[in-house]
Amino acid sequence: MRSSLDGNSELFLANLSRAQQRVEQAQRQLSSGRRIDKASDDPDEVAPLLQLRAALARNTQIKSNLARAGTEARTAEQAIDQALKLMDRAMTLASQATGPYATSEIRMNLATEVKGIQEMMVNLSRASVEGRYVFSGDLDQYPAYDIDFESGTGVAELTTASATRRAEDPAGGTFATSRTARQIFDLRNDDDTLAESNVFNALNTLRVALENDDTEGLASALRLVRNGAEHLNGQIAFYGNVERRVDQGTDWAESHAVRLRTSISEKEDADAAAAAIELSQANLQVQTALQARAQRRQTSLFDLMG
Amino acid sequence: MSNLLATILSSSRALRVYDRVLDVTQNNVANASTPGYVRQRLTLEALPFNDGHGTLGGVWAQDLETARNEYGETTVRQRSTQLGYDAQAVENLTALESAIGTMGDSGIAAALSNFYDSMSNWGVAPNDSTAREQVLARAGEVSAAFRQTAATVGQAGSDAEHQIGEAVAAINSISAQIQKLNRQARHGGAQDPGIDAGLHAAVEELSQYLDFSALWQEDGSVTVLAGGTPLVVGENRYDLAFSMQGDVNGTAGAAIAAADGTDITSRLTSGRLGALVDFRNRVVAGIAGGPGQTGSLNELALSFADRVNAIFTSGVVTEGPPQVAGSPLFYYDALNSANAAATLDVNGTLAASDLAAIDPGPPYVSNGISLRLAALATPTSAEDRIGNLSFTEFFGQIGGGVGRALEDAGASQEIQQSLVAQAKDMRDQVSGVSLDEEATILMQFQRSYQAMSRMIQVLNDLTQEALNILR
Repeated sequence: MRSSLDGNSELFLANLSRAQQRVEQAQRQLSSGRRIDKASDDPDEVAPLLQLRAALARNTQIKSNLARAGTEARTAEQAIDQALKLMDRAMTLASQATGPYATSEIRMNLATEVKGIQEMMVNLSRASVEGRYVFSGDLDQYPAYDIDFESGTGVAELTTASATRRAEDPAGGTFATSRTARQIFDLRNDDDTLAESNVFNALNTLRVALENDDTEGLASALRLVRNGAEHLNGQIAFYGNVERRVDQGTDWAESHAVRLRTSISEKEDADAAAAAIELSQANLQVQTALQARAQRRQTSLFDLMG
Repeated sequence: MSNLLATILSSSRALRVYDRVLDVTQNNVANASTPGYVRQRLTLEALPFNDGHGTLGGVWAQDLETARNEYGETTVRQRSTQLGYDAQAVENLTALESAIGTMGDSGIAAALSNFYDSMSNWGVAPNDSTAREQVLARAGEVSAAFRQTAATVGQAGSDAEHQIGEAVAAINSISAQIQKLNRQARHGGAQDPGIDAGLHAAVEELSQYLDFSALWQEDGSVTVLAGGTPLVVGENRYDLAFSMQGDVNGTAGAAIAAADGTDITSRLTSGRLGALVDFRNRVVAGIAGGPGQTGSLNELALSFADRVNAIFTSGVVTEGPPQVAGSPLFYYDALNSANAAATLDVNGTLAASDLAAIDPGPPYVSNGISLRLAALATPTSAEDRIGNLSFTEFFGQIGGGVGRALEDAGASQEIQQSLVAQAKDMRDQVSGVSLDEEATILMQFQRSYQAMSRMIQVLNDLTQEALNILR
C-alpha cells in the first residue's frame, strides 16, 4: 500500500502508536494483576514459570494424597487399638478359665465369648476407608480374612497379597504406609508355620481349649494371647510412625507451597504501583502528543495571500 | 518602430515563460501529497541583449529540473524493506504466540499438569476404577491438547502460505505497474514528472516486500533486479512464482521461483516476503515440522509419548502368574515424526483395567508405575527429560522462543518505524514540495506577470502613437 503521509506525520504516528502500546500494556497488567500474560511479556521466564506451576500442582496433589494416607493410617491404628482391647479381654477370660472357681460350664460360656472376640477380630482385619480394605495389602478391593471355625486358626485367608504400595514424600522419595492383615493378625514364620504371636491362632487356641475344658491348653493359649497382644502393640508403633511421616510431609508440603507461590508471584505478578505510574505517564504522553499535533500550524502562505 | 514590435514580441515571450513557471508551481502544489512526487523547477535563462545589434534579450525557459535525490530515495527504500520485514514478523509471530497458548489455563502445559496429578491420585488407590478412568481421561486431554496446538500452529503456517501467495501477487502487480510506466517513459515521457513520480512510488511500494536494486535509465525507465534475477527490464516483466515444495516426509516448504524457474528462496532475506518465507520455512517448520526437520512440538509429543509408554510397558497389570505386561498408553504416526503431535492419541484398545500400575522391580511396588509417571512433573533422572528440561519446561521453551522472537521483532519494528519516518522527513526536506516556497514563487511571478502585462500595454500604446504619427 502506498502512503501519502509525509515523513513528519509518519514519525508522529509511530511515536503515538508506541505510547498507546505502553498504555495498553499498563492497563492489561493492572486489570489482570499479571506481569506475564503471554510469552513475549518476558520470554526468558516462561519455562521456569511453567515448571514452578507444575511443581506447585504436584505439591498440592501429594499433600492431598498424604491426607488420604493419614486417614488410612489412623483407621488402621484405631482398628489395632480395638484389637488390643479384645486381646486384653481374651487374657482376662483366659485367666478366669484357669482360676480355681472355673467349671466346665463356665469354660463353655467363656468359649462362646471368645468366639465372639474372634468374629470381631476378623471384622477389624477388614477395616476399610472409602471402600478400600486397609489391611488387604495391594489387593485392597477384597477383604483379607473371613471367619472359619473349622480351620486350624479359626479364619480363612482370602488373599495373600503383600503391602508394597508406597506414598510420595513431597520432599522426595516414598515410604510404606500399610501392613497386611497377615502381618498383623496372622503372623507366620519364614517357613510359613504359625508364629508364637499369631493373633488369630492365639484366640482360636483359647477357644478350642475352653471348649475342650483343656486346662493345660488354656495355659498355652494364655501365653499365645499375651504374645499376640505384644505383637499388636508393635504394629501400632508402625502406624504411629506412618502418621508422623504423613504429618511431617504435610508440614513440608505447606512450607514448600508458600515458597513456590512466592517464587511464582515474584516472576508473574505485576507491580501495581509501577503499572499505575506507567499508565499515568503513558496517557499523559498520548494526550500531550495529540494536543501538540492539533496545535501545529495549519496554514501556509497561501492562506494569507490576498 | 520595428524595435517596438520586437520588444512587444519579447515581452509576450516572457509572458509565456511566466505562464510555464506558474504551471509548474500549480503542478507542485497539486501534487504536494502525491506519493513519489518531488519538487519541479523551471530554470530561467536570460537571452542575449545588445540593443545596437538588434538582440533584444528577454527570458527563456530551459528544461524542467527535478529535485529528486536518489540517495534519499535509496535510504527510504532500504529502511522500508527492513520495516516491512519486522512488521510482517510481528504480525505472524503474534498469531503464532496465540496459537501455541503457552501461558494459558488450558493448553499443553495445563494438560500435562492434570495428567501428572491423575497419576499421583491413581497411585493412592491403584485398584480404584474411578482413578483409572481419570488417568485415561487426562491422557485423552493431553493428546487433544497436542493435536489442537499442532492444528493451530499448522493454521498459522497455512495463513503464512496464503500471505506469501498474496505478497508474490502484489509484487507481480507492482512490477506490472512499473512495466507500464516504463513504456510510457520510453515513449516520450522521460521528462514527465508524473511518470517519474509513479515509478518512484511503485518502486518504494515494492521495497516493503523485498530487497532489490533499482537502476534508473536515461530514457526515464527503471530496471529492477531482485535476488539476482530481473523483475522488470524496460518494457519486459519477469514475474515471481510461489509453490510449496514437498519432501520425503510429506512436509512442505515455501519456495519462490524467478520467471526462468530459478529457485531464489534462499536469497529472499528481507522485506515482507522474506519475513513470510522465514516464518513459514524456519519458525513454523521448526515447531510443527518441515523439510528435513521434525519440529520441536513433534519432538515433545513423541518424547513424552515414548517415555510414558516405556514406563507403562515396563510395568505389569497383574502379579499373576502369569504376569500380564503393561500396554502402551499413547500412539502416534511413527512413520512420519513431523506428524507426531497432530496424530497423538490414546490407545483405543486400552481399558481402564488394562493400565499397568505395578512395577515388578525389584523391588516390587504395586503402585510403582503410577508414581514414576507422576514424577515426570518434576523429573530427576535423565530418562525423564529432553536434554536437561522436563516436558513442561521444554514446552515453555517452545513458547518462550516464539515470545523472544516476537519481542525482538517488535523492538526492531519500533526502531525501523522511526528510521523510515526520519529518512522520509529528510527526503522531504531535500526534495519535497514546500507550500510556503511555492506561494512565494507564485507571488513573485504574479507580480512579474502583472508588470510584463503592463509593459505590453504601454508598448502597445506607444506603437499606436507611432502609427498615428504616420497618418
